[in-house]
Amino acid sequence: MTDPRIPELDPRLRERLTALPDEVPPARDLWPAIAAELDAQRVRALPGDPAPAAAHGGTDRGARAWPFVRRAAAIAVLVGGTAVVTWNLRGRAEPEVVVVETVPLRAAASGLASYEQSADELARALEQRRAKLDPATVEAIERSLRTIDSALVEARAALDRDPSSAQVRAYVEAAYRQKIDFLRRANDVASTWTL
Amino acid sequence: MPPALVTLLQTPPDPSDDLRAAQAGDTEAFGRLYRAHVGRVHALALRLTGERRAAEELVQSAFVRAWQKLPSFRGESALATWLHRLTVNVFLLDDRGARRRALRELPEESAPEPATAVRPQGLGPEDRIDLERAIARLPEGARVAFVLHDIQGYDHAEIAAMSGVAPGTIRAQLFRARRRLQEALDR
Repeated sequence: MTDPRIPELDPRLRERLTALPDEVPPARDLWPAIAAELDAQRVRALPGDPAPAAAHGGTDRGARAWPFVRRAAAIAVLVGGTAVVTWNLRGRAEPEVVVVETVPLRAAASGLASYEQSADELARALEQRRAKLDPATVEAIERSLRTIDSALVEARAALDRDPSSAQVRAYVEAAYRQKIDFLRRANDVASTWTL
Repeated sequence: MPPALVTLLQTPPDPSDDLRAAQAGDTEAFGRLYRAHVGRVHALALRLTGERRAAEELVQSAFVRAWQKLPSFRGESALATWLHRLTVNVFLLDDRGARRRALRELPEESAPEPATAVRPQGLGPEDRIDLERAIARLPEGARVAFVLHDIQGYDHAEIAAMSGVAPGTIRAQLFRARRRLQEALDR
């Protein structure tokens, strides 16, 4: 790899270069945001969506890879996931459903924008599929979403109070992941539901 | 639970199994591949970008891109090599005009940043940190040329092809990077 037109690499510099570590782990876990983006891409690739696959490699692998979830089991998972989030965040055995009109997450200011963006995309996709669901299922999904959102509001408020707390931040990120997973599953239910 | 089943459950998955599963659309398997490779990809990203936030964004973009391209990975090279190449491509193609301009620019030389005193006996962690910092402080074009050539092992023609910048310009940036690093580390 030598070039006569460039002076040789100084041996001391070369020695230092060889001592550089091959691996430098990132200071924070980047996987949640990556996983959320992959989930969002899968939703965009679901059957019936306009032109989803070509933009992601020209295949429908996202749709094919999507696990088929039977309606009843899926709803149970949704509610179960919600309860886990709420219990984790509040430390209560029984999750309390709190109705919130809006969710002022302000994620962009704290580096959580990618989560919120993914959740918003999934929520929009779900809204488009809402008509396919029966009223009872819509009600169950909305109730679960309100619970997740109220837990998120509490977690975000805690993070605002203590922005340096890695533990609180981990709670917030976990809540976002649960919300994204919930929305993903809800979209799956809606995409397979036939009234 | 039978001991054999316990052993099976405790055995880490075969990376090649994870690769095949990820290629078939299993995000959990892809997550394990991410864990196995993120340290190397982040090291490359940190050196290419010179700052933490941009490096994290590059890592995220690279792995999302890897997920999209994974079905076309045929194993002609090691997965680590493929990921490195893909990360470099994502970096160079992201705002490619700006990267090209940075590689072409050879601004007036300014005095190097003050560096720490020489420690002649052996190389400790401080020396590595000093070198990482000195690399991060290089002008972008010089830093990219140096990282790709002297650390990653690409030749001038490869860098030129990937970046769309003339090989002579890459050589000039490399010369500049080596000189500035030497000056910084000798102080």
